[in-house]
Amino acid sequence: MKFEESIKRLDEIIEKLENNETSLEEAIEIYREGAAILGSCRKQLEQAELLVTVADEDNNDTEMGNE
Amino acid sequence: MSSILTVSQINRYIASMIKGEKKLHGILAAGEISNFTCHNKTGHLYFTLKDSETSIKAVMFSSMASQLKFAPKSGMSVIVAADVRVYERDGAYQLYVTDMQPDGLGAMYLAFEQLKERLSAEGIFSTEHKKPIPQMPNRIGIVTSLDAAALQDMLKILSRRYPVAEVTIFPALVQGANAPESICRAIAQADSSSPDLIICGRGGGSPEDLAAFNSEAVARSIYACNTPIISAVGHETDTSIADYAADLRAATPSAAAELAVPDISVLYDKINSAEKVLNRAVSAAIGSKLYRLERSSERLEAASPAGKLSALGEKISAAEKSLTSAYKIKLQRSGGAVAEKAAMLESLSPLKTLSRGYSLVYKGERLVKSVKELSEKDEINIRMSDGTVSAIIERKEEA
Repeated sequence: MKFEESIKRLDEIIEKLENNETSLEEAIEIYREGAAILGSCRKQLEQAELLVTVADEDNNDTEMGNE
Repeated sequence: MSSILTVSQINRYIASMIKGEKKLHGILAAGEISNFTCHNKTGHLYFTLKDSETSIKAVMFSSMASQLKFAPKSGMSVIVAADVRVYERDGAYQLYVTDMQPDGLGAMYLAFEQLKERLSAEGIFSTEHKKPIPQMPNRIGIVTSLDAAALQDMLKILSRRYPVAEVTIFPALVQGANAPESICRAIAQADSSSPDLIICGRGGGSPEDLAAFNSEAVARSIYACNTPIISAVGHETDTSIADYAADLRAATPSAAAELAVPDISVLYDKINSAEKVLNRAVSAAIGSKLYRLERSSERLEAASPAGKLSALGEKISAAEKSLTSAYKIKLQRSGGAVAEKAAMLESLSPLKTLSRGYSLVYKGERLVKSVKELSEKDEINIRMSDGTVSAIIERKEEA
């Protein structure tokens, strides 16, 4: 999942957890999902390296080393 | 003969005439500065603008003068934007200057101002058209020259602040005659790859170097771009036409990179706080379920058969008690009657009769009621009130 999608999903999960109508089973399930997303977000941040490509004029991207 | 006027009346009349003349408002005038003074206290600028033939007095108030990006001085050729008005006290008409540019750039400045006005009137710069800049752009397109230091600055900052992003560079010529067309094509190409955000710009340079970003074509393609776009042209002081057209203006390419993405530390904060909120939310969710469970369990207990049973049990034992006591009372009452009957019964008992001297004669188990039942030598048992004797019949006589 892309980083900002993860953050968005986390917000959704929290909102659901805060909603009293959510069943206990679902609460536990989405909490697990949220915890997993948190972990993967941290990992993403720790391992992230800016991906840089250069588009040529035919719209084909070619990779470019950063720095 | 006409009436006699005061000097004030004349000056006021001329002032109003000039004020009503639209051609003398918002004019651009070229000339050379002479007799330049900057008022110490107020900061207002006073000078004379002259050409080879004539001159006109000019004043620029400090509120406008403080916006100038250069320091005017005597002998400098400038173009001013001004209104002509009358200074009534001296009966002098003069230029009230609102903006001033060195005349080296005269033509370019004029073109810039006119284009800006035209595009502005068309709504190209309108704030309603501006798109919001996404907070966490995942895919970022950069339109700039590949070999510019500005690009490396931007990549460095993006890499430091928000390394989760994917950056695609759309190379463009950023100066020279072909630059506008090249920039427009790169913007369109970037836009068609639908990134979350585009940064378009170049580092600082001479006004001629930045000209492409003051072109109508670039302004229009920025306006037409469907992707939010940050312009980043030159150094802090220059605002280009592209800057006006963009959704967000950054003073420099580095500033654009800073504005474009959140900082990684903010992301860590966000994750940490999300974790806290998540934990709190799940505890609260479980807590509320537990609370409900307890409530339900209380209600269940209140409605359970065990409760009913014990209530029934109580009823039963109460009934049992009252039954027992009623029985006892009954028994006591009956007791008297029974004793009476027993006495009566006893009085009727044959045994009682025996006590009066009668005896019962049995042969085996059978009560003998007649002599005929007996024969000589028969064994009989005679029951008296206080015991039994056995006898053998020796003789029998019928009555």
